[in-house]
Amino acid sequence: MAIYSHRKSVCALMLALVGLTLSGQSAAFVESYADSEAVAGDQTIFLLGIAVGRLEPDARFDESTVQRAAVRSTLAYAVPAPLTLAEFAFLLSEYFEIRPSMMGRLFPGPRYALRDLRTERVIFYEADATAPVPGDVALRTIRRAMTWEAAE
Amino acid sequence: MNHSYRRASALLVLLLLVTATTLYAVEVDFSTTGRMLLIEDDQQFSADGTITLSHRFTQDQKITAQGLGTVSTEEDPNAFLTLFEYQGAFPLSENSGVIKLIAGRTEIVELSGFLAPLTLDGFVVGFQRPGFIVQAVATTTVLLRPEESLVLTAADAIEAEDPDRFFGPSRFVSGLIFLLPETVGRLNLSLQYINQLDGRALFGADPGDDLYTSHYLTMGVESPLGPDIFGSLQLIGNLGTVEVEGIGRSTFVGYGARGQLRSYLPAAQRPTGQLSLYFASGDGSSAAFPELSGDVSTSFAPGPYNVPWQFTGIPFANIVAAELGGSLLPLSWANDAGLRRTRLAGDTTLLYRPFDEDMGVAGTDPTSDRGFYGVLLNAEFVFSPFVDLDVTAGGDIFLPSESTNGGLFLPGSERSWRMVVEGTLRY
Repeated sequence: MAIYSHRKSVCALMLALVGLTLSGQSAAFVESYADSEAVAGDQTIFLLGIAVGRLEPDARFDESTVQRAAVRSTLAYAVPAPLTLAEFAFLLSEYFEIRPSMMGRLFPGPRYALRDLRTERVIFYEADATAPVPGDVALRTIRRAMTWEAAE
Repeated sequence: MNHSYRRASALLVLLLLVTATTLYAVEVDFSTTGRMLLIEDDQQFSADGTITLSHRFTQDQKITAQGLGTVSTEEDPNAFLTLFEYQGAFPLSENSGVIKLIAGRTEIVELSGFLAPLTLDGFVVGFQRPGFIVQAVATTTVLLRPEESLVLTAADAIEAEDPDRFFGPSRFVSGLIFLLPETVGRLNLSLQYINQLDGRALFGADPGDDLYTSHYLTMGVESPLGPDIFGSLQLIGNLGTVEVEGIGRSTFVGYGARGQLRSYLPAAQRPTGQLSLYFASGDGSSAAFPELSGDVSTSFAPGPYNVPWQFTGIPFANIVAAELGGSLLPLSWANDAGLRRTRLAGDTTLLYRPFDEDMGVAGTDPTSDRGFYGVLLNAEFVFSPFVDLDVTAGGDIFLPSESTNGGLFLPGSERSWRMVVEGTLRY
């Protein structure tokens, strides 16, 4: 019960913080995302697409919008399968165009994306690279990435 | 045969790494540092490689292993297991606290800043509640360096066979640490007791061995002093004894203080100020007891580089040091060029020795009016074009004064300088 109410508050907080960008989304979608134990690739790409303006704020979540939101390097993740923490970091770094490290530039992919985002203090979540990403963690991290982008 | 064996070993290690990485979600990180050190006319080249493996069982439990290999023009190639630790946190019921456990080879940072960080084998058990944190430490240096171990201060330098290094006999290190956060207002208080026991005292000493024990008691307070400044004061007391079976016992006492001012500014703009002093005296007048080394390096040595400071003539004991330093913003031209994380920093350390005698068990001569001065200047430029690549160029110079009787800051300590260029890549 405590966890449920915690996630509800995180969801409400996220809607408030993300603000207009996600205001067109149904609360049910964001709430379902925040409640998930392991966020899926297609849902995350959809949210990121809205967050960076690739999709209009009132877009509906379906296969076609997910495909529109995906960029070439992230197409492989536009599927309803759980993301690992490293894959989630890779999506964030691609959508927010976070400057990659030298090794990340030479070998783009989840491994260096996760390390880079930890260095940039966008990701604080302490878990292995292969661990799933809980929804509330994902939403908080997307918010930090948006703050990071604004600061840059 | 030898080559075949090495190749087979390397392949086995590689296979284990790949298996561990894929099956057990082990994260692997590498870093390499190449370095050129110019000490006056002497050029030295070295390279370090580090491999770190970590696996997290749960969010609160993690195991980490780290190995370091070095090659240089000055020493034979070498490799160490620098870290092999398990860390776990176990919340108690009803939010009554958290127990933290570290077991294995770990680095222990002593709070006062007077004692060097130590890599030790053993256990650290902590109990944490909102009002306080208490930690108990039980460790040894026997496994890491069976013949020699890190010396904490010059007062510990008995029997240091190579005074250029911080080494002494193997020992057991135990301690009890209390942290009381925000005790009064925003004032943090720390209390700490550390004991060092000569390993030979437990496992049998040979006749004539001088067994060394020390007790450190430190107290620290730190608190904001204003909206932009943070201040801290550390006090340390050190009681050491040297005992030679059948001959007698010698004791010495050390006491020191260190005050620091830090600002809340970002690291790239942060001014630093620090005043440190440490004095020691002893009663070891018997010739049977070894002299304390007057030639052991010091925590006052500046420089960010991971290379031994060559000005080893500065003792920890009987010295006052005032350090002023700061960093400048990333340079504007670097910003214009899109190069982030450039940093220019410098330190000036003023050193004063009120006595002209070496620190020894025989003590110092407090009536001497001949003081010795020295200045250490350090500057560094760090350039990080990427977050995983650092290039550092820096230099230090040591300027000792000459005393009225023609002596130097310390015997053998002449004006000297060094320059370092090093690059580190993490991959």
